[in-house]
Amino acid sequence: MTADVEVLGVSHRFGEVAALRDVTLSIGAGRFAVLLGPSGCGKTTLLSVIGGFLFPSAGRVRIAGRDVTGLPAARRPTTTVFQDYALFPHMRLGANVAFGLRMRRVPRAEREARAEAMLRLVGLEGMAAKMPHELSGGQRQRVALARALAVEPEVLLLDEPLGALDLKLRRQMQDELKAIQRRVGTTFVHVTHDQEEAMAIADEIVVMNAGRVMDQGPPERVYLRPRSRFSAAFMGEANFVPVRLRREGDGIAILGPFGTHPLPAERLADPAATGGRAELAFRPEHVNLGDAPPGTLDLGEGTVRDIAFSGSHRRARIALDALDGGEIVAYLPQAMEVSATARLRLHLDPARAILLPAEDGESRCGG
Amino acid sequence: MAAVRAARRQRLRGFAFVLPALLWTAAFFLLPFAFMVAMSLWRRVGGRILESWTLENYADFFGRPHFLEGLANSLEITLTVTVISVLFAYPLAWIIAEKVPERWQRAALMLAVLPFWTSYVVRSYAWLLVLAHDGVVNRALLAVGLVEAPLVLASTRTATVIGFVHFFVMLLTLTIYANLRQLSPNYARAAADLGAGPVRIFLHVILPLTLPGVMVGAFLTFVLAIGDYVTPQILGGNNELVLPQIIMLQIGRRADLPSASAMAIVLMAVVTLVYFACARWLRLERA
Amino acid sequence: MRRLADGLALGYVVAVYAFIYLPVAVLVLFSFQESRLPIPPFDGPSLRWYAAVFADRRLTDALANSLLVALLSSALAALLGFLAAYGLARYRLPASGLQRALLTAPLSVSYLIIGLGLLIMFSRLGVPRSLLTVGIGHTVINLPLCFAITYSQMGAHQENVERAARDLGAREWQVMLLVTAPMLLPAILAGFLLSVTFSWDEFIIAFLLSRFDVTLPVEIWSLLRSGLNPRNNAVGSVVFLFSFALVLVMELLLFRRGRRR
Repeated sequence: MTADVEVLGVSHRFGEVAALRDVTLSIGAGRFAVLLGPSGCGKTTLLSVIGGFLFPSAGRVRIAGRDVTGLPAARRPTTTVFQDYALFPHMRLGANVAFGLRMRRVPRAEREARAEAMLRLVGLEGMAAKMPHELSGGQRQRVALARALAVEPEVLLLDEPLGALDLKLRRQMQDELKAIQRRVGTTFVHVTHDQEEAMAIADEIVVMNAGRVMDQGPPERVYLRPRSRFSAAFMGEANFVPVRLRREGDGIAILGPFGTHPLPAERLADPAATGGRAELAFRPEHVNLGDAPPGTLDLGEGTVRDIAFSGSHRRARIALDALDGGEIVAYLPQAMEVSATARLRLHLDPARAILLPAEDGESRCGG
Repeated sequence: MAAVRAARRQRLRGFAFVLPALLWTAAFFLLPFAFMVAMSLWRRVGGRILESWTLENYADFFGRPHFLEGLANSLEITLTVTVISVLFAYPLAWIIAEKVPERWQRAALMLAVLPFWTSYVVRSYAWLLVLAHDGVVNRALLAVGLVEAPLVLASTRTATVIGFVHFFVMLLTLTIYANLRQLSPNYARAAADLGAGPVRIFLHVILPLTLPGVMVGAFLTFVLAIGDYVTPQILGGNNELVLPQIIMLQIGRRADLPSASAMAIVLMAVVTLVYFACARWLRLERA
Repeated sequence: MRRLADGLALGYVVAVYAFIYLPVAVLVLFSFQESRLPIPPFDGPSLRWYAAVFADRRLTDALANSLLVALLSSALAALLGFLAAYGLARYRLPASGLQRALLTAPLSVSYLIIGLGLLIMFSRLGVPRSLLTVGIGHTVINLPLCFAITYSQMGAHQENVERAARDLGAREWQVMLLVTAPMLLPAILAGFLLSVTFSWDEFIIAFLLSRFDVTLPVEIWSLLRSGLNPRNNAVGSVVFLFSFALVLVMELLLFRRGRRR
């Protein structure tokens, strides 16, 4: 059972606070979508609107093409895995998982068999007679998942389901969640503020901030070609340098601290904005060392301000001469030992550069 | 709008759950109170109740030394009891919370408050046994030669105070213990870390942090003690009457409900005044 | 130094415990007195006063009355309190602060005043005093308790559990019957049992509102007029035993379970 989800122009206010502002997005059937953003960005509100726990001030929600905006949670083809799991504390695991089937008047024998199958799916085989308080956090999380999946929803909503688990268990549960989603084929909509988690499990990431969708797409696209400064900064680290744009033949040229440099037009996040101010963004791992070969973007020389060993790489803050001492972050190879005052020469593959429309307010470097 | 109608239907349904309790409280708490207020403004004249409005019952109360003395007795006894009870209960609660090993704390607390659950009529009677002319206290005092003749303990204000203190030490131990346990041990650790000794930790950290809870318990003690009839009647006897005893006399012997009502309202007013006087220490309502 | 402080603490605890248990010990000890006065020296043990208590029809009737009133009034208080707590915790109602204040108001008024008000109202309305009126009074004082205890347990987590039930297709009555009530059963039971002990012990309201059939504390009260008497000790000990058993049940049933979670 699976279905697509469409959210059309949804806005929601809590008193004076606008939690969602004109949100439109669509999630394909059978996809694993992740709503990603900082706390208070509206992602949980959006999940509640899809699940039928909140009725939006404006806009429509469609599931499998059917308008469900006014339907309560019970009459939607969705179920929710709550952040605190919300297991029924007085029922055994079997009864917890079978609850939805009981509400649908499935005969006892059938629902017990089905509950056992669901517990097996989440790796809790033979534990149907246990009580929720006998379980660990990770196990409760699995029960909540089994309970929500037992009624075969078309869309499963997960509200920060891994938030209460410690890091190691969280990474392990991510893999399991993804495997289970592949197995059942249900559309999953999962809320988190952890971008690593989002990239690990999502087919599709929806980046949200301040009640708006800032970006939506597959993890790779959202990471490598973010469409807004916010999503570039939220999905991992990025450096931002203000530049000006000029149309030049088929492509464009950037004018800025690093001189004038031609770039292919597809590097623009917003193809319409080919004139005026923009921001050049690049990831720390895309900064290369040494003299700039022809065709690359020369960042010039800089002084290492600070360097820290991060396991897979060394994270360096480097003050660039071209930025009058403004700092960027670069990931240097693990094997390279650099002292804290070393001078380095840096360049950038233009294929890795991102051009974002300039946002109002100060443009800062780094971060 | 469908949404507005749905919201109203939701509200009505929610209200339906609350309504029985509200009606019950209105019918058997608010309405009787209204009856009592009305009654306090009537007069009992010649064995009948005269239903014409007057403040004479109140004038009577404040005009007669006998009644005012009752109020004064009530206040004195209640304040004494409150202070002594807090002074006894705090160390006990503190020792249970701090010195008793974790696994025995609950048992120690249970043990400390078990007689709390005995009927209060029975409890007062038991104190009467203890304090009687030939009771165990006098026998013990005589035996060790502390006194030459038995002390008069029963039917005195002291007996009333002892009976009350017994009850409220238990109540306050419960509330103060709960308060102490709520404190994170890190407060004391932080203070010790910054160089405070045990005495200063207690005076500057633990005591101020538990004071609001102590105040709530003390206020509860005050309210319960000042309204109680049984303990002063059994243990204090008929010597220095407190207000509830005088009220019961009006109801029973004199069948003067108007005057009893007026006194009951004065009693309520006193409690309310005390409440407002210490309201800033009593954080009864949580924000 | 430290040992001295611990010794002082121990001495203090022993002294206070002795103070707390002195009356109970004397009460129970002299209930086994052989002679007619419950004062030293102790000349028992004898069960004659217990026999006298259980042979006294008025006392056993009063005991039955007390149980009846306590159980029924507490059940009603628990039911009304649970419903009100559910309504106020789960729905956004107008003036909900005022409603909560009204429901808990009887907690801050002394029993004497509540009893007097009811006495006046019932006598003006011509309602005869009986166990029924006593039960009404006890429900008035216990309803706030049951309401407050249940209400305090209806947190956001419990609300999420109810949402989960709704999400899985439960109707409102199913949510309440299958999820909310069982989930809050410890709180509801705690309110109920606490109410039973309060009603069982309550004197002044029962005294003012009863007439021919009386509850146990009222019957004991009239016995006390006879002064010190081992039979009173025996009654008191029985009452104490009952309250003790009730508290023990509460502890084992509710708090033990609560701790395991």
